Amino acid sequence: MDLLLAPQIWDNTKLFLDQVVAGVATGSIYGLVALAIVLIYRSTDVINFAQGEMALFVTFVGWSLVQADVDYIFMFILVLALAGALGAFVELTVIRPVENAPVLNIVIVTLGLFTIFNSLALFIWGQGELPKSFPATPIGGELDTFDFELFTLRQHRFAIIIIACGVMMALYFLFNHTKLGLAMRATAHNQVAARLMGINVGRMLMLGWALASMAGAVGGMLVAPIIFLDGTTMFRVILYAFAAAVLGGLDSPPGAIVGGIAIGITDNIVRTFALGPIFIGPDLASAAALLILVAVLLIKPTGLFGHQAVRRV
Amino acid sequence: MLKVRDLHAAYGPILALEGISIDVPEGGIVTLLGSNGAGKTTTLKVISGLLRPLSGTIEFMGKPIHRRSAEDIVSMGISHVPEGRQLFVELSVMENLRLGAYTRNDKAAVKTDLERVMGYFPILAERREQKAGSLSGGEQQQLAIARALMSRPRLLLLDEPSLGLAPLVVRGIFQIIKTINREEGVTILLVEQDATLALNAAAFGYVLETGRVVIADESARLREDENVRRSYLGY
Repeated sequence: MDLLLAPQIWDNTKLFLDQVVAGVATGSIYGLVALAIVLIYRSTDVINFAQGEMALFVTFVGWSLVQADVDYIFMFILVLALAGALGAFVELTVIRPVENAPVLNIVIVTLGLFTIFNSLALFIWGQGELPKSFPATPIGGELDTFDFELFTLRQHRFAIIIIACGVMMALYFLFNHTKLGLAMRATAHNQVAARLMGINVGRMLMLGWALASMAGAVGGMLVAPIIFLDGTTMFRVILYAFAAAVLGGLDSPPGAIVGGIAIGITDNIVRTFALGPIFIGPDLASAAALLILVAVLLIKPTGLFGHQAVRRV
Repeated sequence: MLKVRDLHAAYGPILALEGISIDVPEGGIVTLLGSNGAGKTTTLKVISGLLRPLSGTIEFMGKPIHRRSAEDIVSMGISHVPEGRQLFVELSVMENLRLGAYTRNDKAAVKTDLERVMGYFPILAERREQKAGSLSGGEQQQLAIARALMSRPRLLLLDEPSLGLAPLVVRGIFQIIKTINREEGVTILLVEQDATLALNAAAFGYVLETGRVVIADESARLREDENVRRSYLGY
């Protein structure tokens, strides 16, 4: 597509709205994975680079379940359960032993996990044909559309928005209206004080990793029908998710979602439209989206919703 | 009620306690005096399970607790208001208080306790939705004590409740500490730099120096003690 073919942003309202709504949908996926990153960062100060690959791994398991004729909903639940167990397991066996190590060591450990899960997934599922197709949710297919007056939306994108909303509401309820959620937040804020309240800090951290892994897995299962499953499925997702998390402020769950959606929309618009004589196109779309991130961080270094990190010395 | 025997503890290679033995009788107020680094805060940390002792024993209500985790010790009835208060500054006053009752499952009683505790500290009721970090120093100290009471402790460990507060505020807080002791029957082990205050509140005191108990006596007698007066009371 060159400049002559690229539509002008003000010429085509319907296409513009289509792209915005689709951007909300893909942005929700980035938001879900960003949420996973934020949940872990908030409670353990660890940036989990393996978040996307953990999601990839369990999504591949989901693919195998679908091949074995497991019903979608049942598969979804099984994958979530597996993701939770995997997150808890990783926290307990890999992260906890390096808990007090310097930040760089922990970063390297999660990069190691990235490689391990990626290679393991390719080892197990890479023998056959790649990429593998993954089913959309029962709500609607990736190629079917809902046609509204103002815009057209692929049914699977609609499903993504619904499910992402569901995940956010569930997490909101957990953190703000349950004793367990309050204890998890307390643990994230001050571990010593949490112990003095009688909170089992280790258990809360494990639970935080489990929840994060589950949010990531939802992202994996929702993106797979769009871009198929192979070793690189999560690469752009995790890149955008990091950008979304940082844009939102890195310690703010709503910020992660808003950041994800902002990046999803920007990416879609940039890849589709020309602004006057300027057309960036798909090749540089990611760069343009990330440029906005840089711009925001220059103006507001803590991100849109982030707190100033106060460290007492 | 609390029996500490020959307690040794260290931070890494640095020995902080070198054989502390203290007794806290049920219903009383006992104070630990001493200069910085004498081991007062460390003693409280070991009792509440924040720090593992190297050796020695701690018995609470006849049960050994020195190998228990901090989480277990709270549910056994010991509540620790630590050095620096350790509030959840990002959470609201109400959330801090609720977390104080984390080990309890009696919802209705927790609710009445919330009201009762805020009766002691009316300012907390006024500020219940505010973030704990936005409170003044005195209010934060009140919240720290109130939060500790929410677990319905039998023994309250207080670490320097006067630190950084104006004299008038300190007087108010000590009034409440005495009231809590008298009316709720909560036993108190008090660590305090201000020896005059501490000896006024407590019936019995231990003077610590470099990780050891050097004097143990009733408050009235400690006030008369030549060394205590010179070193800690300043007259």
